Amino acid sequence: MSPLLEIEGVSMEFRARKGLFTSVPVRALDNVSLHLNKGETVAIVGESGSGKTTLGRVCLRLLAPTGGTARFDGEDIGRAGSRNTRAFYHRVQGIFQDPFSSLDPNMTVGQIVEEPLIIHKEGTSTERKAAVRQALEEVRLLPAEDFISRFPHRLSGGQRQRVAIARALVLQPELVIADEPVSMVDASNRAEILYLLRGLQERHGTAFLYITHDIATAYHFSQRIAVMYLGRIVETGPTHEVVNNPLHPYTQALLKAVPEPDPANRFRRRATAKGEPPSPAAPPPGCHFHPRCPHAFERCRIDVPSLLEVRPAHSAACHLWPEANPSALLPETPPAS
Amino acid sequence: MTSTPLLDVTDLRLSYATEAGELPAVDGISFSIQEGEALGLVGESGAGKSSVALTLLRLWPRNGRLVSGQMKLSGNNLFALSDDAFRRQVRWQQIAMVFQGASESLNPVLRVGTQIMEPLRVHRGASKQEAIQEARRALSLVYLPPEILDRYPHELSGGMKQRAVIAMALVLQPKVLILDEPTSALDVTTQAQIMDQLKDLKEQLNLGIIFITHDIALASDICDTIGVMYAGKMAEMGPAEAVLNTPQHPYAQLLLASVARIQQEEQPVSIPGVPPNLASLPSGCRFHPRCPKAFDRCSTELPNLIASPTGSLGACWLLEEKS
Repeated sequence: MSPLLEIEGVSMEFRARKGLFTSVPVRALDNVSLHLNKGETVAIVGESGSGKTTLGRVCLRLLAPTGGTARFDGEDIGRAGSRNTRAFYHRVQGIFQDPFSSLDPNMTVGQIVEEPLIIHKEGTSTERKAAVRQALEEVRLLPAEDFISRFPHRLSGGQRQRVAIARALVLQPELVIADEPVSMVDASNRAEILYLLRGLQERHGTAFLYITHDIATAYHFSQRIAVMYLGRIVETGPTHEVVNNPLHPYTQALLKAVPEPDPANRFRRRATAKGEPPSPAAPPPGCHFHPRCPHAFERCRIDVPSLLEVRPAHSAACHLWPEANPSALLPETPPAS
Repeated sequence: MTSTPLLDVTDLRLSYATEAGELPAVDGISFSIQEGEALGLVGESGAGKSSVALTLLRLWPRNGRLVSGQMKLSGNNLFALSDDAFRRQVRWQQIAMVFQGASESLNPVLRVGTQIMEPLRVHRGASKQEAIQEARRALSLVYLPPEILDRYPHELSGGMKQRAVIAMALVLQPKVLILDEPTSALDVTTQAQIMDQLKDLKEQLNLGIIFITHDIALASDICDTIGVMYAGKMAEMGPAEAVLNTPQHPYAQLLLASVARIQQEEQPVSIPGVPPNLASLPSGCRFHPRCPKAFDRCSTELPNLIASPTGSLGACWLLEEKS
């Protein structure tokens, strides 16, 4: 079975204004490869500047990559003609971070959710109204009748995000790119929204690309994880493996930075990565993470590590993990698991 | 713990006048903190956490009205002071605050140094030399080099800006520091660094800290005492150990269970429903419509804080049944 979404060696270069007449190239994505199967959830985890949002925008055809190809169901996303645009967005939809700016304040909830159906000339007015009601019920905006005539400003953040989800799902797309869908929602409502997405996935077989900075929610809501740092995938594998046996020092730092409710936390310091991610406009040579890495050695400053399969289906781009070759010399102190 | 608390707040009530009537945003909140101690105020948006902070600084909006309350700093009654005296003697000098999103509200056209020195010039009438010296000291507290004084905000990273804002709040050497979601705009690794930094400050300066967040996991990173707020009231408050390990109030239990954890397989739960609108509060316990353990009494009578066997105070009728 060929994957639903196939990203092969995708690079994305922007020109960032430096002065009045000068600009510098910024590599937001550097040779990224990833695939997503039908009905699967893959989480892209990274901090700001990691390129995770750019990757999502490439998959949503909002950006044409400067290198490599992204294919949806075998067809090049970037090159498909404009006549295919409508067909593409019938099958691929996006949910974005900010439910306060992604909903038109002048439209009612009913109009917002119905709009994709009108654009795609789906059904009669009565059928559309029924589909809107059903979508609102699916995202638990109940009773749906009450919400249809409301304007977004009368809704809470969590409710708005559910409207955005209903709008994305009313066309029953095969792939949804969800870019930080819960980061602006109260912690107590995050699980609810993610369960909602998972329920929809189970019922309709939707595939999700879940883009997030929060590896903890990725742990509970994805089957596979790809960790990104400054435009590159540094580790990828089955979610359970990546979280419980992280290979890359950056993934380890990310995991250590996640607070869990424990009263003993206040008596200890977190051994997370030092410093902050450097600017993507001037990434360090070699492994981008080396200036912050506790295990960095000479080679890390020079050679770019390639993403190698270290354990079955679990790959890392780190010189500490040369190859999945049993005879290869493993580091004396392998990164803590 | 028998000494005079650093900050002692009793029965704080603040209401907002709106078209829908007087809304009780802060409804009978009491707490006290000692020097070197951090209190966390945790709850969903609209719980009244930030309104508590604004009340402590007397910065409530125009439609706000202080209904009642006592506030003592080292034994001195602050509500006895006139607004002017409070502004001159207390705000920023004794009690300072890092507002939510503060690092994004730095003035983009002024150097960071000018902004850090402003309170010194205004409140202390410090000379330029003195101000520079004090600003450097404040920067060193947050591990920033003195060169930062000459930089503009856009030249700093998110973590550095947040540190500069904390330095700004500390420049007059306050005794109490209020932090409202100080890390919500930051990356996770930067957030962990800032939290470590705050732990250092708490110890070194013996600061009393009020830490406001919707994330109870983050609160556990620094708070000695945790107060879980719901719809303007305290649902449960007590030592971090009691509230985090053996929460008594069903809301505190659900809030903890809603955290996505990586150290355990258990899936996070979601809290059904939404917090009530202050204009149409439910009768009885404000949490009862969402509470899985509610019984008859909960919908008719409002519970007061009751001492629980764990050492916390909980506003829940279940606790009375137990005792």
